[in-house]
Amino acid sequence: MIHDIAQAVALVLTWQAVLWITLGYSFGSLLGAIPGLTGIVGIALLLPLSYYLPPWVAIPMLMAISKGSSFGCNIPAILINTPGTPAAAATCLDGHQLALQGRSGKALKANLYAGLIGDTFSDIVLIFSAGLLARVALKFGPAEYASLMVFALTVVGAVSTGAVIKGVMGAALGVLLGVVGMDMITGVSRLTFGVIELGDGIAMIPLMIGLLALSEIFLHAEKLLASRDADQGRVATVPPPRHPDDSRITRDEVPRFARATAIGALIGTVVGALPGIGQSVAAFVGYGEARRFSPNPEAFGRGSIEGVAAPEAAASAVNGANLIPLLALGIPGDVVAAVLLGALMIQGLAPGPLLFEQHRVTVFALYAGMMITNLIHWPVGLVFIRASNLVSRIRLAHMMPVVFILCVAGTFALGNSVFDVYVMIIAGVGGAVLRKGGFAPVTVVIGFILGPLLENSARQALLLSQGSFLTFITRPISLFFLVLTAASIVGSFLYARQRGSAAIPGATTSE
Amino acid sequence: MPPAPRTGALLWALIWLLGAALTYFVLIPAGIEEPSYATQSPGAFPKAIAALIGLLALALFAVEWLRLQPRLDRRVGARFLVTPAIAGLYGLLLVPAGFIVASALSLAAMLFVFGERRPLFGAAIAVVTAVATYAVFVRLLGVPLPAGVLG
Repeated sequence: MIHDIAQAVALVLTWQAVLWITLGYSFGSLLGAIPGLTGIVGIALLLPLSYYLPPWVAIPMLMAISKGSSFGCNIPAILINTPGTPAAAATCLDGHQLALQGRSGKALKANLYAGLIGDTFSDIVLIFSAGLLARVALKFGPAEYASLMVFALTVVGAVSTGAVIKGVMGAALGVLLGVVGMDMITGVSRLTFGVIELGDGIAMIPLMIGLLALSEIFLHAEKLLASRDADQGRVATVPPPRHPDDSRITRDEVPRFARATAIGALIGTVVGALPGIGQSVAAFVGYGEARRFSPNPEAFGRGSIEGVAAPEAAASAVNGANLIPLLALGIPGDVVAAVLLGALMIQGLAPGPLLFEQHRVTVFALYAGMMITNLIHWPVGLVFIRASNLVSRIRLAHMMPVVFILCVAGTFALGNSVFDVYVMIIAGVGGAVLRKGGFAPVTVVIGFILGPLLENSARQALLLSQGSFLTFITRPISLFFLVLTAASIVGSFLYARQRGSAAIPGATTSE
Repeated sequence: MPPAPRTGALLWALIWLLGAALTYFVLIPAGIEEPSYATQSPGAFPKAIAALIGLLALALFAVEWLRLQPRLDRRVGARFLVTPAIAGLYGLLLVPAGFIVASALSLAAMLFVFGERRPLFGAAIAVVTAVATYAVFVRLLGVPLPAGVLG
């Protein structure tokens, strides 16, 4: 065993391997920072190249693109409230609030370190317990997934405290938008009204960019027109730091940061080991749980460092944990894992129990490559943070229209479809109108992401139980999540009554 | 004496209630076919969600604390529609005119709306951003964008 590990490390610790992994990580970070583009675009672009590289270089390089993208997509989320991925929408909640307070450096560093810790934690768990966790994940059936989704939806309460009814209404609207398209059980088209482009449903990224980013641009424009004061447009995109502590995590903040990161990393690892859930669920559950366990939950949504650390640690932890079902069982947990499965097959490696016996050194080399990626994450991330400081010097009047163009280019590029651009613009108008009414567009996004997963799992469970709803409470893991959900709702109401906490400003308005 | 309910909040609840009723009674029956072979109705879940929205809208209408919610800042007015209108025109122009031309025009218009009053500077930002974005997406990443009249 030791000999195999030493051999694997020697394979990866070459300048060529480190260079490819560094390039992959930087490329992924750059792509992630462009709204609308994700790591999957980068992986798809470099997949043919991976054919010419040995597996212990190719697979970690592709993984590095995904990890870099996870970090990079949070840069526009924090600085300009434009999430490139669903998971980054959770980071927007507090990250952008921190940026508006002149503490973008603190938010970006919290994002970097939490991601690094979450990633490394899940990689270590992957290395030591791939087999065990894969067995636990196998016990998850549709009923357990449905209950987990119900639990994940309780995050709506966390992002709309003080306006819970409006939060639930927003989430329900998102769920309703999520049912558009083909019904997975019966194959019937739902609410498409003959529009061919809606056959696969409303595209998630255009909807998300419209609701969260474009709506803000529209409201800023209205404000500028209303004031008739060009000087307002001279305001910088994000204010500069006023104190050195605004650009770093202070000693006082370390315990809160560490607790939120630990909660996020743990949740992300468990969620990542479950196929088909992914980073967005992990990020929102991580955010909700960090808030629940925080001694200062009312700070969430107002610029809490914990609100940045928890979702990022959770989303990053999914990266490593996703490989648990992939390597152990050959089940790809998400799109990235599916492409990695293809890359492994290209290399002649068939995932499954035999992989660990027949290609043990290669598997250890993959692990070593992932750890090297985590080491590279830190310096490369700091370079990106330094470069992103330039954004804070650009005037809002110049930045907003440029962001709009990038949103359009990224959205069009997703499916080479102008229909997606229309969806984004309509969602932008809808998001702005919702914000005016005191509704949080992020709750619509949460409902849109989690709703279809909930519906499909619940209906599959009901099919298997021949229509009996008892299946959700007779299965122990499912019951566990439902009890957690009930406890979470009761706890939130009791807490709200006790503390009289106010609505989260960042979640409901563009201010 | 409790404060009088604000008409703005009540109007919002009414809009949601009408939307839910429209979805439940018109859109779902018209937009979801109920196949005879299916053991589960494909419309059941959307109907349940529409009913939930309707009930919540009723609750929103009724609950007293709604009166304490922050004031609606402004009605949807002409000023609000300026940027979405530019965005809509951009969407219409994107394919026929091409990404560079449509982006440069809409970017210049948006910069003006956002308060940039130096025509040459605004035009330079618009053209450089449009060309640079096109170059990054098409040349560097190999992601197609419409070429339009310049193609």
